Amino acid sequence: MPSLEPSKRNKDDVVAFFTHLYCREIFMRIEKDALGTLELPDETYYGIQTLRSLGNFDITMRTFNDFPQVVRAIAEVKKACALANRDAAATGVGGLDADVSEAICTACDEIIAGKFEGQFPVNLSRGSGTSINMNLNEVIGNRANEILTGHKGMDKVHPNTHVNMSQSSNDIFPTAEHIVFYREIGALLDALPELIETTRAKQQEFSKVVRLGRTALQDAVPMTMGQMFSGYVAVFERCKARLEHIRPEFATGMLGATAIGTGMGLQPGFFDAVYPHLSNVTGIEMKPEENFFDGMQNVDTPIILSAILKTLAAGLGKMAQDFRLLSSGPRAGFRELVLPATQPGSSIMPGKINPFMPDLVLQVMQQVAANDWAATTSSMNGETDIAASGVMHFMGLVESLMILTAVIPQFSRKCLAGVKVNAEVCRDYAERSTSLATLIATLYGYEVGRQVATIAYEEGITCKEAALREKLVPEEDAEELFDLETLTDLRATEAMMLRLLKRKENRA
Amino acid sequence: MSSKGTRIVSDSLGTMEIPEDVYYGAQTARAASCLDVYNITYTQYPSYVAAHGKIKKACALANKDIGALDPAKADAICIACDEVIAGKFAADFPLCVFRGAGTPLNMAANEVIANRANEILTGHKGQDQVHPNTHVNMCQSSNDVSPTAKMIVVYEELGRVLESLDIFEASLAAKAEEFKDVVKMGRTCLQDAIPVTLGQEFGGWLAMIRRNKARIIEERKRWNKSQLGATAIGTGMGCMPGFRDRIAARLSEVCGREIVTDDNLFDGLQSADALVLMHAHLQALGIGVGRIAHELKLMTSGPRAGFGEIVLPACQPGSSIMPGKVNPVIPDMMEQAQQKICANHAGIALAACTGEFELGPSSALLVRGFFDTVDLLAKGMKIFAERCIDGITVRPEGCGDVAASSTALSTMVSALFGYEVGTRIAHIAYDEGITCKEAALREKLLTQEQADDLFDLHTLTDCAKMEELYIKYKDVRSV
Repeated sequence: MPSLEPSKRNKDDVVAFFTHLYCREIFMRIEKDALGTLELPDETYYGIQTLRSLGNFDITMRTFNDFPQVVRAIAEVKKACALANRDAAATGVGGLDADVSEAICTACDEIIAGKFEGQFPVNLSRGSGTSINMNLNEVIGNRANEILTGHKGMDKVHPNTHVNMSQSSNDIFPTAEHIVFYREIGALLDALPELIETTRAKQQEFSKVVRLGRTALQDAVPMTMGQMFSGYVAVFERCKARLEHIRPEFATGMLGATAIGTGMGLQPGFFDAVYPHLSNVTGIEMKPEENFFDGMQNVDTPIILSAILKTLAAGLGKMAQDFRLLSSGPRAGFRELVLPATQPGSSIMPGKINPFMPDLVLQVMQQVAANDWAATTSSMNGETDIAASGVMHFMGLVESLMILTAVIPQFSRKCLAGVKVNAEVCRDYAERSTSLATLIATLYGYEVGRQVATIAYEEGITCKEAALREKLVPEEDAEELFDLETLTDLRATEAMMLRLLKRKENRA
Repeated sequence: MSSKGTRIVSDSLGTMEIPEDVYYGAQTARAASCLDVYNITYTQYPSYVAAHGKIKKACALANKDIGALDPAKADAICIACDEVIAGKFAADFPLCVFRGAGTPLNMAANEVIANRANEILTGHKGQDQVHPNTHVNMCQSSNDVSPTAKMIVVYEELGRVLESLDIFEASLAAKAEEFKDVVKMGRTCLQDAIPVTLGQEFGGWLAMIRRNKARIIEERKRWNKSQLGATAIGTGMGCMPGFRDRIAARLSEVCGREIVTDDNLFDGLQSADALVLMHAHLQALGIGVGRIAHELKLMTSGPRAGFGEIVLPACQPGSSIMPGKVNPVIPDMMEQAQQKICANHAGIALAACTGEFELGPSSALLVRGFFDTVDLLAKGMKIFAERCIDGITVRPEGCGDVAASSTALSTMVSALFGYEVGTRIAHIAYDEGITCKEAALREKLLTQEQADDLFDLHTLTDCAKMEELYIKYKDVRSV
């Protein structure tokens, strides 16, 4: 494929590049910016500044074409600005003509509807929002010009003068960022109830299944599988509440700040008009940031969001790890859980089924944690009046939101919902635990407990069998003492202890 | 969906309907639908897919050598592999990068190659002549194929980084030479220190880049260990007699370089330390490049209200609202790249902590992080060199005179005449806004000749010339 490396910017190279890209003959037009003139294909709606950025920043495989939700949010912000600039014209000292404003709004609506797919080739690596803001300004400018005159160009609608009126990339991009975060958090919040409900259903389904709890992977004391699942439910619910709590913080915009927060370059009347329009266009009740300088300098809110996503990913990852371990087998493992098969597990070992879905979750978790690291380090990137203008950290967060939102229903439906429990194995582990001697020690002294545990361990029998055979525990106590259901319930265990202690007193 | 209709394929979990014109089969389709959480697939990593083609070809040749695989089938498999290597079936690897590596990717390669080989032999896709598992995957497991594929791509991709390093190194070397006589202010903790030449600063960066390059060249040599013959867990179960003796030679032939079978295959299947270490080398380089970017940004700050020592070439207008503003966009990008590389390293380290017993970690973060870092460095350093460093020019008004104004210039005076004298000069210079030289002359602390010698900026950046001063003034030295 012909490349568009910075060294190759003559007409022939550009023509070769786009002929290959579009697989047909192309016609060129000439555009000019502050650095000079360049030719570009007449059919592209983006312009010279976008063309300049091609090849300049082409160091990752991702462009804004891969993130239509971001392009949409910027177009919505531009539309709100065009409406506010039209309103500003009513003051009689500036603003935007009604026909130009209307053409810009139509162009924005078309972008929002996805009509200009492929026109946003700016690489994600670009450090700040200027490149993508100019990309939108050019596409909207050319389209609006076309609507008004029948041809692309800047004679009626100029990308900077008109489309970017009262705006700077520094207020546009953070505002669009917030809109994207607000919506993506919403999508994640929509996905979470299914996970929580599916987990809760399993908690109920397994509420009577007694299993052996483990600490440090060593046998501990009995609990129910339902109790274990209730821990998962709790962390998911807590993360959901945290997300709900932080979401409104993203219903704020930076419009009116322009380049550094002072609002230099604003049309009179723009600021009062723009937020109602922005709320209308986005359907989100948007308010200006309380302090624009704060908004320009600081990225603490995205860092907190990233931390919450990491927490959720860690909770999911813990569950996935547990599933992998508890489903180990089918012959030589823990064998407590059976996961549904999603696909054959091996190219060489027939019949092998692997825990693919938990593996997938673990890798999503790792990616979210890595993106969190990027969000943290990017905060070092800002100087004085503009904070970490890093698109890369922002896109990392968007990616985290997207992959969590996608993996949750996959995991819920293809793994969690179909998890089965091997109740006999679970009960057997619980019955045979030598840690059941814990209560014997509490009731009859540590020495008796130790003796029971040692005999049970050495002879491969249960504590109950050992205690009865050696007559270390009265027969009437043993049945109650080793009742597994009782031992998984704090209150029932308390009551049982009271009964047994009373009996012990009576015997004395 | 294809307009040509669909075909029915099956695996051990049942049958599936897939488009007629694709070469992958049931397992790929199943994995693609189950594990689809993001819009990045292995189609976007052609060199990694090609590495699988190379392995499958080497295995088919080795299996033919030992008589385990019918020559006609082996030949058809080799042709199919060559097509995979050439990128012909890139679209047939629609597996999400998360959890797509390992068995799903190996099975996709097996299915694509088998269908194509079957087509070569019979005129139609299918498994009647060439079976993905029985024939294409003969003597292999995903668990030995996957680390071997990583070995192949790591070597190749590091080559891309090294090519770009050459360009970057040459740019720095040229600038170190060009700026060797440009004296400017040296700074520590962002406070004025003593003079340095711009060439010396570039020379420091150059040495760092050369050291990192040498390390990467050394590290790259280690990526020649094949795990083939290990099969599922290192014991070689399922390997035909003779395969282990042939495969390294055949793989070397296909890859065009010497590859040996790893000494301990159990280690090879379990451990991710090599990848962590290799990425650490790239991270060290990325941090170094990012540091250069950060310093260029500081040096070029201005044009009116900053350090203003150098001018970077303009790449694009810097602002949508402030006309005429030009930003240091490429250094900015490289700072971002630096941080992304560190984040990739965090992901790789986290992934490397997983996996248990006979099998190492899943590949998603390892593969994604590695390729991303390589792109950021290989493409980034080239752009950084050609579009930024090569075009750097000096702003003389930000260099020489500013360096001469440093109140720290009396360092050399205090070395010869004692700290007290040096401090007095510095204080007068600071308080009255004059240079140290002016202060020293006015207060008659130095003679004109001494002042000319001791405040000569070029001398003060040159270790040898400063030693000469010590010798010249050894008799007046009073400390």
